[in-house]
Amino acid sequence: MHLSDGEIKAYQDQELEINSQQRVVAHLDTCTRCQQRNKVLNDLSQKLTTDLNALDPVTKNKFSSANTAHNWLTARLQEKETNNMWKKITSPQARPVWIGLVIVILLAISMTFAPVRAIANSFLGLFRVEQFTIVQVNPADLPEQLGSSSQLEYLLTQNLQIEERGEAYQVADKNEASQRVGFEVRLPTGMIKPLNSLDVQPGGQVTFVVDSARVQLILNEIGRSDIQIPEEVDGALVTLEIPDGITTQYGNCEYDLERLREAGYDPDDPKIPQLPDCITLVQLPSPTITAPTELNLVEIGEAYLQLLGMSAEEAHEFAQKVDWSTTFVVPLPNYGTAFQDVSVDGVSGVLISQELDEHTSQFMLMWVKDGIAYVLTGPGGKSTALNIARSLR
Amino acid sequence: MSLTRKRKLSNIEHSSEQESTDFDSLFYQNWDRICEILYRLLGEWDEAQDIALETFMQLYQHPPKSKDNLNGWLYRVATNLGFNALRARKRRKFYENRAGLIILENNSPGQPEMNLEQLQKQERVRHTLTKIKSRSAKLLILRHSGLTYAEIATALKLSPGSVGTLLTRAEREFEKQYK
Repeated sequence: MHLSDGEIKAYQDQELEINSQQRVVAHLDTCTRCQQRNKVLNDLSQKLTTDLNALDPVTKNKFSSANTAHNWLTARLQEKETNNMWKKITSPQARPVWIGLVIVILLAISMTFAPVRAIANSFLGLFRVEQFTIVQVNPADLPEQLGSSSQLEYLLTQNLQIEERGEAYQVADKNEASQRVGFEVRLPTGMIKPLNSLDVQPGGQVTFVVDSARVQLILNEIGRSDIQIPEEVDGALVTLEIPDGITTQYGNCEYDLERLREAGYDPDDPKIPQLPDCITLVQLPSPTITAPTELNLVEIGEAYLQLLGMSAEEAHEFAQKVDWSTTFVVPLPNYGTAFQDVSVDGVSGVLISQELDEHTSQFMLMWVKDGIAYVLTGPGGKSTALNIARSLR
Repeated sequence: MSLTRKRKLSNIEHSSEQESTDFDSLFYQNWDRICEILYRLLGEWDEAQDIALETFMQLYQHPPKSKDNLNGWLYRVATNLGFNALRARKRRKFYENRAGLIILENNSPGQPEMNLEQLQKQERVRHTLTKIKSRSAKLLILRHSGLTYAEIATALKLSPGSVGTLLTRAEREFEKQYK
């Protein structure tokens, strides 16, 4: 049997194992046809090498040493981390939520202390999310300066620290999931779509050290210079604690991001398609905020709502109805979304729905039960969402 | 900042593959070689370095799930980014002006060794690489840059036994297009 082109090429390139090499040499000694083929392929290879040699560097070592490049890489990563965080925070989708969170923290600190009161950790109170309330927000109504505030950017990078406790990892079943996270995990029953992932998502902690002078500069920048920061709050520590949680996915939830990245995809500027077959459930103990006590929460809430675009009167009226110590007021961009209060899992929850087109809609259902916050998303409407929530065991 | 303490690297460091699991080791092992590959593709030191850095940034920030073949992943991503840049350049009709511009730019500081004929040949070779099949072009550039069949197979997710055959096809494809 004659040699294949691949064998001859590997022989020429000295890429054959020793046994194969000996076999090819022996065959070439006796086979005229393969000798001719060997010459043809060798000529082709020589020609190609000559052509590609044109691309070789004329002078050596024109690029920087690995040490220098490593320093560049370190600097660029630092810069990118800063930019990415800022970009994500100020993206149209994320901006209301993140800005809202930051503003709440800023205002909580800035407006609530009796000026003469000393700051100490013993004054810290614990606020736990027990329910959700939605406020629809038109991002265009947010203070324009928020997205371009250099002072806020500085504060977010210097005074705000985000600690993630590791990457998500898969667990085998509900029992293992419960053991890992320390609460009883519940999963939907009777799902038609297959379970394709059950992951522990390690939590994290966001800490914010108040730099009162800078907070004042930011408030000035966004047109709220009427709010004065007591100097005593300088250096106070506010902590947002996000416990370990569980994420589950049913149906087709794969974007194959890895393949996209390898193809040059920019994961920091994603254009991700909708996933009409994907249902997700996230559950975790309610996040908590530790912050100085004696907060005038209603006043903070009012300012927060005004920053989200409400008039002073609307904000005042709305703020009176909310228990700000236990309610996470979720700013919801008004991009074709609707929301309603629903009874779910024996408690009160919030259903957000969005029409993707004439025939397709998707939902996000949020509720808190027995100290565990649940967020369920997927295709369909209210009945689909409530049926899945009802089936949790 | 230490590159090895941050969160994204934790899953590289904890990989079972001992030799090339540490990010810094991967960087120092592969920096020169990746720069040379990218230089061959792009013909400019600065751009080659820039894309090499981008490759390592992607590894740092978005490492692949599987840590078995990080070297292969690096060469795959580097060549993809390099060819993307080459095609983008083509889209800007870069070729129409480039040779003349480089000659002007390099009259004094750059590459006095390079004459117009060499530059034109370079551009013709690069143009040909963008015209043939993407996998063929990557095979040729990686092999010409000194990667072994095993390394090429890992980088391009091929069976090692098929590399010889595919290289021969790629060479024919190139020469046919180059004529």
